[in-house]
Amino acid sequence: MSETKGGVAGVQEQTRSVRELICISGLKVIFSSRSGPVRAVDSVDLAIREGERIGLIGESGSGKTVTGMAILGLLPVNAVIIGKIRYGDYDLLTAPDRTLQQIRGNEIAMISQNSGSSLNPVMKIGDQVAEPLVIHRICSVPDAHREAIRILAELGFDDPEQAATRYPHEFSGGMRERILIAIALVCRPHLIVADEPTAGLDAQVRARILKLITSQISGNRTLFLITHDLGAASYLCDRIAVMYAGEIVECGPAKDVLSLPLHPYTQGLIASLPSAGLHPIPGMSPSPASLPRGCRFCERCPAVLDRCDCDHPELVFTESGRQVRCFHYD
Amino acid sequence: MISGKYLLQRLCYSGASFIVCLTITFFLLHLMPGDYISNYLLSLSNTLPKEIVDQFREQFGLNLPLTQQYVLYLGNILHGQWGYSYAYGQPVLSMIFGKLCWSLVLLVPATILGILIGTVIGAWSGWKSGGKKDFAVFNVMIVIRAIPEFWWAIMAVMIFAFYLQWFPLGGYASISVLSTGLDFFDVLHHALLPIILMTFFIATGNYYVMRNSMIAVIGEDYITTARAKGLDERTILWRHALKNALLPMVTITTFQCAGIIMGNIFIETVFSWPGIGYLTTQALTNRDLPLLEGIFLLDSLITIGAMLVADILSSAIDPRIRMGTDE
Amino acid sequence: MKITLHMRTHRTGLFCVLCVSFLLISCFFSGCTTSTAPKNATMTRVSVSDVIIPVEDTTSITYTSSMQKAGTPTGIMEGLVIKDRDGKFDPALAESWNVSDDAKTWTFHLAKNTTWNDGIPFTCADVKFTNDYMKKNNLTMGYVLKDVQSIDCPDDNTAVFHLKTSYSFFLDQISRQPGLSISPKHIWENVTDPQHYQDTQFVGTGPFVYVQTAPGYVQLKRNDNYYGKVPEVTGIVLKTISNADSQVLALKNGEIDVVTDITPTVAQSLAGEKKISVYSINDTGAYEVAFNTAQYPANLSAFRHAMSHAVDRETISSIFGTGRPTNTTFLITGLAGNYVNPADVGMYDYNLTKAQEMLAIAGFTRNSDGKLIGPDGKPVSITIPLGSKGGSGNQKVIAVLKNDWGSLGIPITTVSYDDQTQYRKAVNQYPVFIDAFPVTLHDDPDALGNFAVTPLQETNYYNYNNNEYNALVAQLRNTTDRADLMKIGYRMQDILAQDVPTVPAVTTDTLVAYRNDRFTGWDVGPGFHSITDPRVLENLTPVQAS
Repeated sequence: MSETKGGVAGVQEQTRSVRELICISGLKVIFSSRSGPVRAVDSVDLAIREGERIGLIGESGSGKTVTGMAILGLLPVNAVIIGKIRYGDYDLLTAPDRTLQQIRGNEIAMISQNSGSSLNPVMKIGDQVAEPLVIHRICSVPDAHREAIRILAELGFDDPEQAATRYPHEFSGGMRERILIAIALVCRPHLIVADEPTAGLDAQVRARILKLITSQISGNRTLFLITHDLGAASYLCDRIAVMYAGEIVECGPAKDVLSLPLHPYTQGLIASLPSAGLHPIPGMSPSPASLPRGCRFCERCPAVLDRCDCDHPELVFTESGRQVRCFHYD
Repeated sequence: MISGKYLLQRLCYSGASFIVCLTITFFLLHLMPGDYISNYLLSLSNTLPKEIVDQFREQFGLNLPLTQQYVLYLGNILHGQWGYSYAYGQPVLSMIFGKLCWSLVLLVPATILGILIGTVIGAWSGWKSGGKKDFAVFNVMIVIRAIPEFWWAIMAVMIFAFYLQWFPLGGYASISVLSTGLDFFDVLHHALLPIILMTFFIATGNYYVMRNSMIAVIGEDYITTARAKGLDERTILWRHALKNALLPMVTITTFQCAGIIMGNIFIETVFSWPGIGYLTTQALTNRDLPLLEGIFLLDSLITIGAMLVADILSSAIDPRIRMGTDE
Repeated sequence: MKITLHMRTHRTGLFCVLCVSFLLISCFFSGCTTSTAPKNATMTRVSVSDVIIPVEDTTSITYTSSMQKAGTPTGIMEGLVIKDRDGKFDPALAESWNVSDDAKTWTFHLAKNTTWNDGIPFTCADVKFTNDYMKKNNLTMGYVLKDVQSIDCPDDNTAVFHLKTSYSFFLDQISRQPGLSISPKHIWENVTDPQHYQDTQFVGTGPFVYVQTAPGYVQLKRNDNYYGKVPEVTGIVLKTISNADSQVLALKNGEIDVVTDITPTVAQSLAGEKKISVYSINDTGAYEVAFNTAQYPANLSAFRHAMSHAVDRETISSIFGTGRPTNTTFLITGLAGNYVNPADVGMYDYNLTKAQEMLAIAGFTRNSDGKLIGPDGKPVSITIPLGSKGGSGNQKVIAVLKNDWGSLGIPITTVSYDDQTQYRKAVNQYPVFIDAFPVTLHDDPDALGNFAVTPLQETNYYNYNNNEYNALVAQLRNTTDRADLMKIGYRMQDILAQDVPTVPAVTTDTLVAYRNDRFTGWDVGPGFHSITDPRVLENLTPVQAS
C-alpha cells in the first residue's frame, strides 16, 4: 500500500507549510432539550493544518467532543449545526452521506474513547480492523486481513494472527485501545481525530499508548487530539486550543500555551495539575443551556474586570501570534 | 467452544431440574382441591356414592399416603410409565401426542413465522426509531396487541370465513375427510387462518423485544465506531447492530418454541381445533391427574431442553458467553 | 472472506430455517394423517341425508366406551328402558317388564330376534354379563347397578334382576342419564384390562352403528337391522365445533343441521332466517335457592319461611328469558304431572312485606342503618357459594336476590368455586346456596329423596333431617302401587312446604335451532331432553330437495 493517496479532497496540489486540512468556521452546535436549546459548541473557528498535531483541551461538557464529532459528521440527527467545516472542496456539514462515508475511516479516522464499549463485542478483532479496508475497497479481503495483522503487530500485539481471531472481551483496556488505534490507522488517513485515547487507562499503559500514537502519527499525517489530559496534550501536540463552555478561549503553540498560559482559565487548568500543586479552579462551568452574557469564565475568574460581566470578549491575536479570548489582552 | 465436560455437567443439572419439576408438579397437582371421581359422579347426579369413590381411590392408589404415592409415581416415570388418564383410560403419552400433533400443525409455522417477522420488523423499527414509519408501525403493533387475541380471532372468522368465505369456519378438515381421507391441501386451507392470526400475535410480542433491543444497541459506542469507519447505514444495521440486538432474542424465542407444546386454548376454541391446550383445560376441569402430570412433565422436559439449546445458541452468537472454559 | 460472508450466512440461515420449518410441517401433517386415519378399511361416503350435529370435541367421545364411562356417541348403545318426558317408560331392549310386590325382583322380557350390529344375537347373557363384569372389575359405571344383587337368565329373552333392597323407582335409575347401557359379552369377555381398553368398534344394538372416526368427525350410519323403528336418516355425522358462536355461524352457512343450547338473544337473531327454525325443549334445567338448615340463620325455620316469600321468581324467570317460575315445593309441574301435590302449589308467593313481618315475628329487627339484626343481636349478612354447575344462571338468580334481600336489610356476598368437590364443601359452611340441577332429578317423588337421610345417603346438601320424612322415603322404595306412591309423595311435599329446606326458583328451557331445509321432526314426538336422544333422531325426516 502506498503511503500517499489522492483522496476525495484532492489536497495533493497545495503546498504543505500553509495548507489547511480542515477549516472550521463559525461552528455552532445546538441541541434541543427540555430546558431550552443547549449551545454545546458556540462559534468555533479553528484551522487544522496538514501534518500538525493539534490538541483541543477542556473539561467535560466544554464542547470538545462535539467539535470532533462534527468533523466526522457523526452528530446525532437532533442537533442543529450552523457554520462550515471545509475539507478540501467539501463542506463536511453539508456533504451528502455517500461522500461522508467515503471520507470517514479512509481520509478522516477516529480513535474513540471508551475502549470497553467502542468495539463490537460479537465480531472478531481481525474482522473489525480489516473492515475499513474492505469497505473503502482499498484491497481484497485476504489482503485486508494480512494488513490488519500487520498493523496489529506494529501496534505491539505479540501474536497478531491469533489476536485477530479473538473477541474484544478477551483483551485488556490498553490492548483494546490499541485495537481502536489500529482501526483508525489501517486506511492511513490524512487526519486522525483521537477522542480521549487515554481515558480510563493506568499511568503505565497511558504512557505506552501515547508513545505509540507519536510513533504512528508521523510524516504528513495530522492528529486532532481531544482530551482533558494536559500531560497527553503536551506530550503529543504541536499546537493547543483550549475550550471553555463551547468556545475556544486560547490557542497557540503547545509549548507556549503550557509554559505561559494567557487566559485565566488555562492558567487555572495548569495550576490544577498535580505537578503544579493541585489547585482546582473554584466554581463550576456555566450550564450550556443558560450561558452568561459576558465572559463565560467571569464567575470563576480570579482576575475579573468590570466589563467581563456584561461584554463578551472576542478571540484576539496577541503580538506573539497567539490567540486568546480575554479583555486583559485587548 | 463447548467442552464435553461442561455439556455433561449441564445435562446433570437438567436431569436434576427435571426431578425437581416432577416433584413440584406431583405435589401441587395432588394438593389441588377436588378429585376426579367426585367431580365426575357429581356431574351425573346430586348424590355421591361413597363406596364408589372409595373403590376408585383404592384402584388408583389414591388412598395411600402422599409420599408413598410419590415414590411409586417417581419409579413409574423413570421407567417410562406415564400412566393412564382417569377420564379416558388411555395411555397419557399417546393422548398427548394425538392432540399435540394437531397443535403443532398450527403452532410450528406460526411460531417460526412470528419470530422471523417480529424480529425483522422490530429490528427495522428500532433502527428507524423516532421516525414517522417507526411511529406508525409501533402504534399498529400496540393496537394489535391491546385487543385480546380472542377478539381478533372471532373477527377474522366472521369476516374471512363467514362473510367472504375465503376460509372454512373451523375444524381440521372438511367433511370429505370421511370419504377420501386427509388431504394435505384441505388441512392447509383449514389451518391457514389460525396460523396467520397466531403469526400476527407472536410477531407483535417479538417486535417489542427486538425493537427495544435495537434501540439500546443503536446508542452503543461500537455503532459510532462503525460509522466512523465509513460504513453505510444498511451495513451497520446488518453487520453490527443486528447480531448484538438479537442476543436477548435468543433466550426469548427458544422459550417461545418450548411454549409451543402448551398449545393455544383461545385459537383452538375459536377455530374448533382441539389440541393440547384444549386437552389441558379438559384435564384440569376433570382433575385428571395422570394426564395433567403428563402434560406438565412433557412441558418441563421441553423447557429444560430449550434452556440447554438457548445456552448453546447464545454462546455461538455471543463470544462473551464462554461455556466450559476457566475464564 | 470472513466479512462478506456475514451477510451470506444470514440469508442462508434464514433460508435453512424456512426449509426446516416446511419439512417439519409436512412431517406433522403426515404424522397426523397416519395416526388418525380411519380404522375401518371400507370407507363410507357421507350422503347428504346424514344429519350433521356439532359437538365440542369428537375425539374425547371415542376415547372410552359405555362400559367405562358415559358418553359413547348417541344411538349406538342401548339400555333396557327409556324414560320419556311424560314420565312413562318406553321399551328399548326390554319389550315389557314386571315387578314383584316388594319391588325387589324385576323381570324384563327382552326384545326378540335382536342382534348386535356385528351379527351376534343379543340375549339375556349380555345383560347378566354387563352387571357381573362391571362389578368384578370395579368399573365406575357399575354404580348405576349398585342396588342389584344378581341377575338370572331363565331363558335367552328374560332377565330377572334381584335387588338388594326394595326399590320401586329402579327403572328410573337404569333409564335416566347416564343409565345402564348393555355391553356385548362376546367383545368384553376377552378384555382383561377394561380400565385401559380402547374400544374401536363400539358394537351396540341401537338404531345407529359406529362407522369411523376422522380428525374432527365421528360418523355413524343407521342400523338397517334395528329391531325397533329404523331411522329415516341414513346416518349421523358429529362434527367438532368448539365454540357456540361458531356453531351458529356454521348453522347459517348450512355446514351443520342443528344447534342446541342457544341463548334467547341468538334465538331472536335467527328469527329472520327463512331456512332456520327455532324451538324450545321446555323444562330442561332448574334453579333453586337452597338452605343449609344447619347454619345460622338458615337453621331457623321462621327465617326460611320468611325468605321463601322474598324470592322473586317472575323477575328471575324474565331475566333468564326462557323458562318459567316454579311455584311448587319442589317437583316440576310439566314433568311430574299428578305427582305434584296441588295443596302445596303457590305456597311461596313473592311478598316482601309478608317476609318482613315474618322476620319481625321471628325476632329479627332493623337498626337505624336499615340493617337486619338477628335474634343474636348481630347484623345478618349472607355469603352464597357459587359452583360451576349453574354457569351464568347463578349470577342471574343472585342479582335478583341481592336486590330484594338487600331491601330487607340483608347484604349478600358471593364466593365462587370452579371445582365441584370444593363447592360441595363450601355448601356445608354457608347458610344459603344456589343449586342448578337437571330436571330429570325432579320429576317424581323418588327425586325428593335428596332431602332424606338414609343408610345409603348419610347426609344431604341441605343438612336436612326430618325423621318422618326419612321414613317416608324409605317407604317409597318398596311401594309399587302408583296411588300409594302419590299419597306418600303428597305427604313428603307437605313436609317440605312446612320446613322449607329449599325454595325452587325457575325452570329453564333448552332452545334449539335447526335447518328446516334439511330435516324435520326435531320438535315433534314425545319430546325428549336433548337433540341427541336416539328417539328424536329416529323420528327425523329428510326434506326432499325440490
